[in-house]
Amino acid sequence: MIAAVRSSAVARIFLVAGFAISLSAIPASAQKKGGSVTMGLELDIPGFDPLQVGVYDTAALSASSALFDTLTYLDAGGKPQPKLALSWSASEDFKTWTFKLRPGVKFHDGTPFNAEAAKANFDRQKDPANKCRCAFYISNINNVQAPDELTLVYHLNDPSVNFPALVSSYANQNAAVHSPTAWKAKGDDYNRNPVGTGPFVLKSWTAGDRMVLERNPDYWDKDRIYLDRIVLKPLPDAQSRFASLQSGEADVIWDDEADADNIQKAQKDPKLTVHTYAGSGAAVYAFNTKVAPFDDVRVRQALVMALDRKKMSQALSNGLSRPASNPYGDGSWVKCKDDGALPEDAEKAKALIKEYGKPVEFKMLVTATPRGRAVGQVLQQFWKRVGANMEIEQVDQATIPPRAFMRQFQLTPWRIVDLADPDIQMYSNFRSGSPVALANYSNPELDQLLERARVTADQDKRNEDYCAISRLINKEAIWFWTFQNTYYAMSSAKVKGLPKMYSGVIDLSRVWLE
Amino acid sequence: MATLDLGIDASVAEAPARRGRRAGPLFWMAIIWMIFVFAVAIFADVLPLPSPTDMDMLEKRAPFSAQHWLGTDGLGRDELARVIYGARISLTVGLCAPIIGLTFGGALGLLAGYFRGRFESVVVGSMDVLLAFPPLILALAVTAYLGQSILHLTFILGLLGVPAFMRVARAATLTLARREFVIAAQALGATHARILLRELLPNVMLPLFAFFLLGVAVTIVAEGSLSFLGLGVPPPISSWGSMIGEGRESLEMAPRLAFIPAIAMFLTVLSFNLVGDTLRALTDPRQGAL
Repeated sequence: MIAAVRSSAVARIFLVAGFAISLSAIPASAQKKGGSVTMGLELDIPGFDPLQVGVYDTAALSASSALFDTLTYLDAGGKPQPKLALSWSASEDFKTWTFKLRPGVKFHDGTPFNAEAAKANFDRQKDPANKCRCAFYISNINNVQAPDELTLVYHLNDPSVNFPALVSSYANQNAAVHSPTAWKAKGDDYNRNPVGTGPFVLKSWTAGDRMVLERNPDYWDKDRIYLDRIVLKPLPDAQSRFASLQSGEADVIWDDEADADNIQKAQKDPKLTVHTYAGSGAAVYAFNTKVAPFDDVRVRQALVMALDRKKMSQALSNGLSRPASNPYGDGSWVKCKDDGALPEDAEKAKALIKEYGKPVEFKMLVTATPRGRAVGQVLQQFWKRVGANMEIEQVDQATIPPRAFMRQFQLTPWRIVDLADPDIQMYSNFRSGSPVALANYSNPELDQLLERARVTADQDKRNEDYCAISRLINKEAIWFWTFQNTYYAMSSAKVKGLPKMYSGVIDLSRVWLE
Repeated sequence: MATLDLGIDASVAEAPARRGRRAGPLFWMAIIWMIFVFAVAIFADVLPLPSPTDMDMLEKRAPFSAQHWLGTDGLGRDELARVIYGARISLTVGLCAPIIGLTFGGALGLLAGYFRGRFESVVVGSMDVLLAFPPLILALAVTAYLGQSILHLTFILGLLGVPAFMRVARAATLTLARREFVIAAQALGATHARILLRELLPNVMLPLFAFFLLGVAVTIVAEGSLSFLGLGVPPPISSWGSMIGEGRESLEMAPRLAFIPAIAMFLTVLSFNLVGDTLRALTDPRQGAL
């Protein structure tokens, strides 16, 4: 393991020339300035103060990516590119990362952006006295130092070879850089009066109705910002959201596979554009391998083999959902010739259940939503056909994580989200002893592979390790995967320049109208 | 007094009473529909129906055909079988819950109306507390806390019906308890138990039963609301409410998925209401004075 680290020392410095790379590949002259875009969100935005909201949902992320900047962003190839940071480098063990910051950037309230301000953001979230739920996501970062005005140093607890792509690739609760003077001055009101360095400034916000963002005239990259105004409206019902897009009341709307009928209708409509991004990760399910009947590998394998993902996709989303045979998906840089997926073979599954001898009866946690119930019933049907009896236990969305962490389940749904690197999630989901290692499964070989993959800089070698990890998990069937993550947005055809929706974030800050 | 009452009855109250007594064709249509629904619900297992839970995932939202008379739902299950099996749930809950209300509410109302005094104050007061609580919220909280099952659902809906039955029974008892046959029984030295069971109960039972039928209709709707919200019977069991809820998802593509169970529920509730109303008119104590 140590040898692997040493051999990769050549690749330890990732230096990026910041000024040379523009944020958009297309020349600026082709785009028209001005105009206003209205977006229909799935939810009302609760606020932006990480201490108060904990986590930004997809609705908040659409606003935060216009209001705030992050140190880096992901380009169309998934590589980190400079935003507030100009360049970065790692120590030999990938546990210390140093970022050089962009000079001359100011927050909307005039406060200068510098290393002290970035450090203050981190310290505020990390401080145990603040009890921020957001602290969970930065638990790997031990501390942040600001040795001078434009240098920011991250000290990590565990090595991370792809840190710049992970720490701040999109404006989530941890990555968005807030103005320290603003949160100190406004106190509790800061939640609804966010101040960042981003290309848009909050103009007005009526809860439950609309949020209006105006272009920031002093933005450091203002030549590449085309819109004058962005209006965000919560429209929770999928049917009415789609209706407002058709009527022109909204120019862009958020959507997902569950709304397959409307997506397919929009694909046929020349006035509308369907934006889709095939992300990495998948919808996954974890067996609790410490409780019967899942303590027997034959039962787990049988249940996985009983699935017919193509039919399932047909039933749930008119075939839009993309079947997954590993936790990485087509959107990941991990590509496996052989991921060890078990065959979809109902006969073999029946034989395995018979071999097990005892009746297979269990409960599965399912979210109490129409979507959750539909997925639960389809799985129930597949398993009934091979002789296993699943009972649906409907619970609130919010109770699934605590139940999972306490291991109070037999089978639970989970999600591997779209991140630029598989390490964080694979390590926490499968390393024995981790709180998120839901299967309660431990295997020294798996642990060793996970440990090695996270400190190897050579991408080909990491790829090999992650494929070996997938083969092992698939063979033991401790988790299974149904569908890859696919994110959707629909817009009127005149909206151009929407970037890839990494992690499902719809970032309107750099679009233009034709 | 009694003779005066009789005089009014004979001359004035005759006409409306007779109109109420005549059971029109609507009444008989309602009876026929109820018998039909009960019959298919009871004999669902014997009928040549496909399983209500078996999915044909490639045949979702199929139109009407010889194989699937009412087509298939959003997950490819036979719609007709689901409506019929849904009738079982709706009728089971719809009948059992009001029976709980009838038994407990009826007994409390009878005792409160007969004994009066402090006991009556306590009963009426506690029922007012239960009435003041928003019923659907209470039902939501209890099913969310105890978990979803037909038993819990029946129990909570039955409990919510107790105050209404109590009021009907008490009101009937209050007027009856001062009638001559009760006073005569008391004068003859009958015990409280005998008066309650032999004199009052048979008379209170008639309006209570008419109210029971209305209660069935209300309960079917309440069960439907809870199932619509996803807090009724657990999937994959179908109930009319959950079918309407699932059908709502594809209202634009296949409106029949929501409308078929809605029509079944509408007709059944209407039937119970019509029959209940007619029976109430027939047994109304104000007109049945002798």
